[in-house]
Amino acid sequence: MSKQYGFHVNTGRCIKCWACEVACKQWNGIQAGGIKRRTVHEITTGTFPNVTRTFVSMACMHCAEPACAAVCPAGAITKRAEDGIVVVDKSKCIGCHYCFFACPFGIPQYDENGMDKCDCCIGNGVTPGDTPHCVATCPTQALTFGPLDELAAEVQEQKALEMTTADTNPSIIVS
Amino acid sequence: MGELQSVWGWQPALYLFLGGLSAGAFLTVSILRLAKPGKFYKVVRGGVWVAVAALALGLLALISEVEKPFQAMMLWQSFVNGSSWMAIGAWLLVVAFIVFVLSALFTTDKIADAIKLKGGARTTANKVLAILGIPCSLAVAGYTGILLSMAPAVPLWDTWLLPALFTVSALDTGVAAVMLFAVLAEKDAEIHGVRTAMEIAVICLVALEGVVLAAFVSTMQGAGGAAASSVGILTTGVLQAPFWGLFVAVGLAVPLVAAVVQVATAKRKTNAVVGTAVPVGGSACALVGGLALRFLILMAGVHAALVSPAVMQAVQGASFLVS
Repeated sequence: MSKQYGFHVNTGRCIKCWACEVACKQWNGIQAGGIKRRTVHEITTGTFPNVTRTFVSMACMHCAEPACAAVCPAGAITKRAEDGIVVVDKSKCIGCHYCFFACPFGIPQYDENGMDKCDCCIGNGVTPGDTPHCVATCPTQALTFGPLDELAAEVQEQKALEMTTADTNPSIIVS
Repeated sequence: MGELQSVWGWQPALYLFLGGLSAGAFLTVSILRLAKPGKFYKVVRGGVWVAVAALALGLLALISEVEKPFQAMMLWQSFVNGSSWMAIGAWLLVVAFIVFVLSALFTTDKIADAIKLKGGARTTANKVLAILGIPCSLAVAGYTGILLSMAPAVPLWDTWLLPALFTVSALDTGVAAVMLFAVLAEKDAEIHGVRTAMEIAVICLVALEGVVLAAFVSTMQGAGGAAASSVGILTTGVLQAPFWGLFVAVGLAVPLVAAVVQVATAKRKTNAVVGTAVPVGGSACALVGGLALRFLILMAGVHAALVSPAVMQAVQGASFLVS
């Protein structure tokens, strides 16, 4: 199989500074208040006084079997053979919103140009072997990007959770 | 947990209703036409035009929902992915619409005369279109539900019971629409028997719809998790008033009672007593219920990621709150 690139989200390092969100918007020229390709979620567990907060930065997971691409009537969503990155051809997208209902993570968002989501910064000139801007910006190195098998090997020591729960086989590692 | 689905708004809901109504009306008229050839002109003509108008309006609603409607109208460019049910459905709708429109044109006396379609040729054309229209109607009715059930991230829609429910409801609303013409427009005395047959059909369809609905609700409750909380929005949550009031009471119970009353009184020739209020009221209520059903199912179709985000579960494996 050819390479599959993906993200590793290290929740132990994330401090919820939103730098990844801002960098993503800035570099991809997305208007404030509109689409968010990357979102930092906060998860609160336990009850006072034993409360734990965990932060997870999430974007498109470039699934091995992307459900969004399967349901897209216009064939506007494709998974690139060379790096496994799932991309949207906005000129083909009609903005029917069907992919939102297919994606197990509810990632697709829309404006008048159609669907928008993470493309690993290909659209703003980053080549897949290089570092997307969210990762480059992350001050704590909670986000890393690379071939998925290499990321998996790196985090083997830790408790890594691959998102294999979804039928679509997301290309992401959360630890 | 009061969050409702809002990515698809009122336009798809309206389409789901109108598509079903169109299919149901065409199917009813086709059966009537094949069973009683050459009769009940006003009912047949009314029914086919309802089918055409409802599908046209439904398609407009559907197209107005997308971000780029004009691009979407270029079907040969925009509906090309054979693995997408939306693409398959779009072409199905085109085929069905053509059949419905041709049928409506050939059914209408003035238009048929104007294009010099007469006698045997016209009868044959209408018969062929009626026969073609039956599978088309069933497919359109089923497709309204399949569109939703093939979107895997919404637990409430992820069942074959949804297309089943929408199909039965489509037939129910279609019979109701045709009934209006039978009651209000048709003067042929023989329509009395047809009306009774349609009322019996209504009783069967409402009973079937009740069974499918019960299976749908219990399956969703049994599935637990997101599906159960989604169905909870309908039965005990923020949508419980329209669900029980508009769909179950107005849409199912009232048409059932109206149909039973008419079937019971049909043989006693007490039509004068029952009058037109009962069948018209029953039909109107069935249409309101069908419309309510589509809005309710669409609004309660909460995305799985919003109910139980898989990402979050993988991280914590337990209960959590997303801020």
